[in-house]
Amino acid sequence: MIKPVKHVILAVYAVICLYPFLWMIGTALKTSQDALANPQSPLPKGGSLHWSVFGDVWNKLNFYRFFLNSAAVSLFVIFGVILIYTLMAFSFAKFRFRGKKAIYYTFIALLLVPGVTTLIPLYINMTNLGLDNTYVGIILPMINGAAPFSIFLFTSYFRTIPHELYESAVLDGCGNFKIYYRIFLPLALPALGTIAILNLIGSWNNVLWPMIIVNDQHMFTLPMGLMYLDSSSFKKWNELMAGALITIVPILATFPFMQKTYVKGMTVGSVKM
Amino acid sequence: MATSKNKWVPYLFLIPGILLFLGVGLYSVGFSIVLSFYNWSGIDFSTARFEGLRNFRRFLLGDDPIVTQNFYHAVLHNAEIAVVQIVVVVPVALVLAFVLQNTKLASLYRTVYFLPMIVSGVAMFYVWKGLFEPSGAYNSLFHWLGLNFLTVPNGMLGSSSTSLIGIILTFIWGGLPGTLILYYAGLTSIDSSLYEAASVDGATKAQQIWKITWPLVKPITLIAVVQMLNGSFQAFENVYIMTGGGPAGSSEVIGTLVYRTAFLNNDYGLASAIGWVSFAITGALAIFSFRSFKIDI
Repeated sequence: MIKPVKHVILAVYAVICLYPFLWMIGTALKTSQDALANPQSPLPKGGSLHWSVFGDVWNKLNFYRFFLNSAAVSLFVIFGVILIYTLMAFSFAKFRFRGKKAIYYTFIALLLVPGVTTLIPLYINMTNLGLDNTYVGIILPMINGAAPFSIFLFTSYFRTIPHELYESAVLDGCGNFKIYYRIFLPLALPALGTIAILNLIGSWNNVLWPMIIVNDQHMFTLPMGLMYLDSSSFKKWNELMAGALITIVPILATFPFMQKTYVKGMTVGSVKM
Repeated sequence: MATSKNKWVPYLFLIPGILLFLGVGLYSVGFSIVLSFYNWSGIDFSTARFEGLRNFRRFLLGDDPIVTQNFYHAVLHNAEIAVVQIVVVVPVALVLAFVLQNTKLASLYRTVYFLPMIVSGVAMFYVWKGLFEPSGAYNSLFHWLGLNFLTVPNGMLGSSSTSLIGIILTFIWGGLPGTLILYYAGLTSIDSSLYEAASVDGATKAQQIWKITWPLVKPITLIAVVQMLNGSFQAFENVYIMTGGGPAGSSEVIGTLVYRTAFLNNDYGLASAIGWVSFAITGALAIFSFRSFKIDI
C-alpha cells in the first residue's frame, strides 16, 4: 500500500479513538454556561481553563465518598475472586474426585445466564438478608458473577504447572493447603494479575447491580454518582465531565498492564480449540 | 493428577465457592424460574398468584399485544446491534490490523487504539450523549464537511429513526479495539519465513493469504464474533444511560425491557419470563462459545 494512504487511515482512526477523551477533558474545564452554549467545541471559550470544577465535584458533590466506595468494592471483589476461585481451581486441577465434571461445568454454564435475568430474585434475596445498602450486598453477587471465567482461567493455568512439583512437595511431607499457597499461588501470579485487572475494570464500571441494591447516597459508587449528576434538574455538562474524568483515571492507570493481559487472557481460552 | 488419601480434601477446597454459589447464584436462578410462572408485584410473596404459562403467552403469543410488540421489537433491536456491529467491526479491524503491521509507529497507534476498550463504561456513555446532542460535535462535524444529509437536527439520540444507530456507533467504538488487537497479535505472530518459503515455492500472494494467513485469522474471528453476539444480546448499560430505550421505544433492547417491566412496572413474573426467554436466545448463540471454553479435566 502507498505509504501516505496507510498513515491517513491510521491517523483518522486514532482521532476517532481520542476525540471523545479530548471533548471530555475540554468540557470539564469550561464554565457551565460555555459548556451548554458551545457543546460542539472541545475547547473552553477564550482558552481560560476552569479547574475549580474538580474541587466542586470532589467535595461538594461527594465524589470523594463515591470514589472510596468504588475502591472498596473493587478491592474486596478482586480479593474474594482470587481467594475463592484459586482454591476451587486447585482442586479441579490437582485431584480426581466424584462429581468433579458436573460441578465444574455447572459453574462454567453460569456464564450464559444474562445478568438481568437473575436480578429480580437477587434483589429480593439480598434485601431479605438485610444486605441492601451494604458493601457485602454489592460485593457478593459480583464475586459470584466472576466465577465462570476465573475458574476456567485458574484451572487452565494450574494445569500448566508441572505435576512433579506437587509430587516432590508431597514427598517432603507438605500438606495440600500448604502446597496451594506456598507453591501454586506464587507460580500463578500472571493469571492472578489477569483476573485482578479484568475484575477491577468489571466491578469499577458495573452500574446495573449497585443501582438496584443501593439507594442510600452514601453508598453510591462512581458510575452512580454520574447518573445522579445527570438526573439533577439543571444538568451541568462541565460537572458531569469532571466526574467522568475522575471515574476513568484509575482505570487508565491499569493501562500499561492491560494490553498484554487482554491478549494473553483471550488466547489462553482459544489454545484448546 | 492426584488421588488424595483423605477423600474429603478435594471438596474442602470447593467449599467457599459452593457456599457462595448456593447462597447467591442458585437461589436466584431457582427463584427466578419459579417467578416466571407467577403474577407478583413484589414485597410479600404470599400475594403472588400462580398462573402457569400465562406470562410467556403474554409476550410471546400476543395475549397482551403491547407487551408482545415491545418484546419482538427489543429482540429485533438486539439482533440489529449484533449484525451491524459484526459486519462493520470484523472487516475494519482486519484491514486496520493489516495496515498497522510493519508500521514505524505501530506501538504508539496500538496504545491509542486500545484506550476505548478499557475505558468504555458509564463515563464514556455520557461523553457520547454529549457528542450526539443536536448542536454537538457529531452534527457540527458533518455540517462542516458539507455532508448535511448525515446530520440529525434533533440529535442522534433524540429521534426515533436514528437512536439505535447512535447506540450501535458506541458499541462499535468500544468493540473495535478488542478485535483489532487480537487480529494484530495474530498477524504479527506469523513467522515471516513462512511467506518467504511459500513465495520461493511459487505460491501467489492470494494463495499465501488463503493458506497461511486465513487459518490463523479464522479462530480469532470466531472468538470476536461470539463476544460481540453475547455483548449485543446482553446490552443494557449504554442503552439505559444514552436513551433509556427511547424515544418511543425505538432503541429498546431486552435488557431495558426486563428492567422496566420489573423495577418500574413491578411486574416481576413477566420480567422473569422475558429474562428466561432471552437466556434461551443467548444460550443458543453461545453454544458456539462453549467450544472455545472447553478444557478437559
